[in-house]
Amino acid sequence: MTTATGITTINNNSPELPVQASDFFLSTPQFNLIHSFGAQKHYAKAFIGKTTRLSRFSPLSLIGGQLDGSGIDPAPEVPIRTDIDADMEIFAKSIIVNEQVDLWSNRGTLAKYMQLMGQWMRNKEDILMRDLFASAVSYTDAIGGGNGDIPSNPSYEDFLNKEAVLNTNDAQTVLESLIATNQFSTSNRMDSYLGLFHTDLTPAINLTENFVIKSGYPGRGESVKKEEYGSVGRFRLFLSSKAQVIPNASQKGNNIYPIPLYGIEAIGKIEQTRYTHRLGTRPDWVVSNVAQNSGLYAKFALARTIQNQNWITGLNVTAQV
Amino acid sequence: MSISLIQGDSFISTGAGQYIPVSGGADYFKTFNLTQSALAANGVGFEYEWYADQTPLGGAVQWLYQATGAVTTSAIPANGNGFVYSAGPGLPLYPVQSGTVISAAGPAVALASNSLSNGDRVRLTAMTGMVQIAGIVASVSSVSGSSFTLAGLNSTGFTPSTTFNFQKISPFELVLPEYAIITIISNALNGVITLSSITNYQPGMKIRLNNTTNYGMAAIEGAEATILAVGSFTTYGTYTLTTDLNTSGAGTWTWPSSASSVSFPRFATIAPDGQKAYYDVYTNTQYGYNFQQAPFQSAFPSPTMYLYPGANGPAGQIGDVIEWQAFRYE
Repeated sequence: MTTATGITTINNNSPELPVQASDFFLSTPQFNLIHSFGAQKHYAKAFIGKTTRLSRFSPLSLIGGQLDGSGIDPAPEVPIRTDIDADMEIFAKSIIVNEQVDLWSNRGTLAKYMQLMGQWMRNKEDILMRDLFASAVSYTDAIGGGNGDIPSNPSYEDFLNKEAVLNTNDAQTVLESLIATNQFSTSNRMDSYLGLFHTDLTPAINLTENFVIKSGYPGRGESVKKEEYGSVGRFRLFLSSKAQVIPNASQKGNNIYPIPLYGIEAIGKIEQTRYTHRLGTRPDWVVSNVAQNSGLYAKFALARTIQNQNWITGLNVTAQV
Repeated sequence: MSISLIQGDSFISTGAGQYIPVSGGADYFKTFNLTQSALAANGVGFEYEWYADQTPLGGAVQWLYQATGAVTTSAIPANGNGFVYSAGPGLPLYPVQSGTVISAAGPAVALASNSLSNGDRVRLTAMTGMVQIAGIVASVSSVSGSSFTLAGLNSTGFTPSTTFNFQKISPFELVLPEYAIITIISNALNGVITLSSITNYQPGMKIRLNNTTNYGMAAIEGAEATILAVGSFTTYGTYTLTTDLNTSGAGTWTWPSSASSVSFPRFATIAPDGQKAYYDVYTNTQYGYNFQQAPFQSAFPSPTMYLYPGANGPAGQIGDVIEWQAFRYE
């Protein structure tokens, strides 16, 4: 019989358990949730259908109205009302987990799955609002950027032209007074419109004339949303890696990045009473005949709407500078 | 691994492509053409199968009769006239393809080798010549393997495009009603707006006009209009909207020249702005609106299976009765 001699190392005496899992999960990537900023929130009552109607009156005509002394009353005016309807829609996600996952995985896996469900609801809601911006808003091409593409990279002139559109249409600014405090806890760039852009546009936005990065705001120690990147003119710009992008759509085959620009009350988000953000479990003896699979589910209801097309516009840009 | 039948139904073919919502998704999808199965015509397919894990992805298998009466199978390539499955909303991203000519005519005709179907939407880019429509989204009709017509675009007077790229895109935006590109507005008491693509707008719905100033019609910039009627150029869909907007003195619609297109803010568009029931006292007609289509809603509530039409497509020919089934692996 021979006897091994020498230093005992992990090469000749390896650990019995080759892998151990850390007690802590690493952070799950999370993108900026920006597409509900400035949305007016409504609540739909239960038991009266899935469509919610929002109504808006037009101002009365300013033509005429003078009493000429004849004793004849001026013609009465019928107020004009516009109805905007939005359908409530329900979205859901489920995970079915075999008991062996729970038995042999790191402790806390099921709890993490539940957290993922919660994250899914927030992310899905953001993407749904993004799709509304992408589908139901009029965008025009930027032309002032000078990169020679159609559309061009963004320019200060493009933002000014869009501000003029909103100003002319009497759009209401957000971030003013109490609303600003309640929604964004900031007043450093008050009396502004909102703009949402994709992270790929970071260089192009930075190089836009008169761009002010958030850290350059006066009184920057005050609270500003982390999703805010900076401002151009009267637009406060928020960025997300999940903001709109249209692949290969420019004249030169580059990606187009639509930037929605809007004021308060331009978009609306309607939540369903009795059906807001449900998170639940189904025990294994319900899901499986032999109690081996259990279930997690998440579901929520949401209706989306453009409330006033006059108070929202958009700019198509490319990222090349 | 077991396989479960999740969903199934039947439809009568209109001769056009068919979108089938498959709520639970699909790992295996099958159609059976009852009409063609009975006819047993030479070279006509009657059964089609699609597998999620088939290589190349999107390919399919066709069962068809031969002149001898025998049944054979043939593979349909990914870009062939089989199935297109989209697990998410809309259609998957299609490759950018190139074409040679877009004519200066009403309607414009594009020459390009293609596998499009009537009613498909494409985005046109990389124009040489007809730069004023670069980036336009348009529905196609009168499709052949070598050309397609842009029924919503009258390009008479434009510089013909000698090269261009096109990319098939989703038939609708993700949320309806959707914005759409204007190609011309008539001068009339009830202005008629022509769009580049098929839309689902209905009488009674309201739209907001955008960027008409840059097309010679500043008087109606930002105007709100109620749709009185929808028309059609072709049997494949609606391109025109007759509105209550008086455009008689609103200026003449003018496209920019190709040369000035780079510095021209494009396009003029319409976007949904609510709805209003309308009563025409002269014709004693009540214009309501299609309530099912008016509210803001998802265009694609679930994963979708697209069936190509034709004698060798799973959506069949006009009048064919077709059964379909969607399966999932468990």
